[in-house]
Amino acid sequence: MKPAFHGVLATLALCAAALAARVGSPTSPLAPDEISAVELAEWIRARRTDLVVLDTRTAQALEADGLPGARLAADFEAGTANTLVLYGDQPLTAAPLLRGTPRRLLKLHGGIAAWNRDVLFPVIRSDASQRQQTQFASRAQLSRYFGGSPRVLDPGTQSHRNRSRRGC
Amino acid sequence: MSAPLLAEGGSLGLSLLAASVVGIGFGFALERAGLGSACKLIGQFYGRDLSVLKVMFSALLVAMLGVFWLGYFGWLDVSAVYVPDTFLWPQAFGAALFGAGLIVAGLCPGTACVSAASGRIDGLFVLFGLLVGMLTVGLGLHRYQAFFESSARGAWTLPQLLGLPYGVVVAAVVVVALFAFVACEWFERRQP
Repeated sequence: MKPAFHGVLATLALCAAALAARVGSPTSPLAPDEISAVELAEWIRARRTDLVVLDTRTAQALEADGLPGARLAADFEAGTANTLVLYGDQPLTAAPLLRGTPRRLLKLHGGIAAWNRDVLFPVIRSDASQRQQTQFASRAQLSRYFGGSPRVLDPGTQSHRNRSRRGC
Repeated sequence: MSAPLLAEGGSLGLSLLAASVVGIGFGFALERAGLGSACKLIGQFYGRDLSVLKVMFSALLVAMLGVFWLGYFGWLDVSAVYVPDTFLWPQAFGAALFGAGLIVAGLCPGTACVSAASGRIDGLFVLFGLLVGMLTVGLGLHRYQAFFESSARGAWTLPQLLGLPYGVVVAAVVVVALFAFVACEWFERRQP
C-alpha cells in the first residue's frame, strides 16, 4: 500500500476516534422525543406537577410492575399536565393524548426493562474505583427512593466459566 | 433489526453457518496478509518483519471502531455482544504458554489452520500438536480446576478498569496503535 493511502486511513481512524471521544458512549443517543429512565426517575422524585406518566399496557400489567404514579393511557383524560411520558409494549399514538393541546410527549427509552435495570437495580462492580463508587452513590440513592436495591457485582462469584455455550 | 443477528442460544445450525462464514473470512484475510508462513510470524520476534503486529492491530482498530459506531447508530446492540470473562492468572499463564508455543512452532492456532490449508507441511504438524495439546489439557483439567477458575474478574473491559468513557478509551487505543505502526515502520527500516 502506498504511504499516501496509509495517511488517508490513519486520518480516517483519528477522525473516528476523536468523534468517539467526543460522544463518549457507543449506545444510541436519545431521540428528541425520548427520555431516559434515570432522568424520568429524577423528575418523579422532584414531584413535578406538570408531569404525567402513562402506561400503554393493560391494567393488570400496570398493577404488577407499573412505574410509580403511572396511569393507564387508555383512561387518560385531558388535564393540566404539560409533559406526558409514555411507556409500554403497545403502539404509542400521540394524537388522542394530545387532543390539540400544546403538550410535550416523550417516550421512555428502553421501557420497563430500562427502569428496572437503571433505576431499581443498578449494578456496580465490587472492584470499582473510588471515583466510580462516588458516581454510583447518587444512582444508589435514587434506587432506594423507589424501593429498588442497588447491587454490587462480585466478578469472582459471577464466573461464566461453566456456562454452556453453543459452538466453541 | 440490529446485530448480533443470531441470539445466543438460538439455532445451532445457523450459528455454525455464521461461524463458517466468519472463519472463512478470517482465514482468507490471514492468508492474504501472508500470515500462513512461519517465516513471517517468526520475523516478528526477530524484529525483521512486524507484519503480524500491523495486521492484527489494524484488525483490532477496525473491529473496535466498527462496534462503537455501529452501536452508536443503533445497528448493533452492544450489550448483546459477548465479552469473555477475565481470569487474570490462568490467562496470563496461558498467554505465556501460547507465546512459547508460537515461537517454537512459528505458527499460532489460526495461522496453523491457514498454513495447513495452504498446503504447508509445517502447518499440518502444528495442527496435530495443537490437537494433542488440547486433548492433554482436557483430560487433565480436573487436576487444575481451582487454578483454572481463580482470579475471576467477570466480563471486564478497559473502560471499566480505567473508569473512563468508552469513546475516550477507543480514542486512546487508536492513538497507541498509530504510534505503534509508525514505530514498526521505523524499526523495520533500521534492520540490515
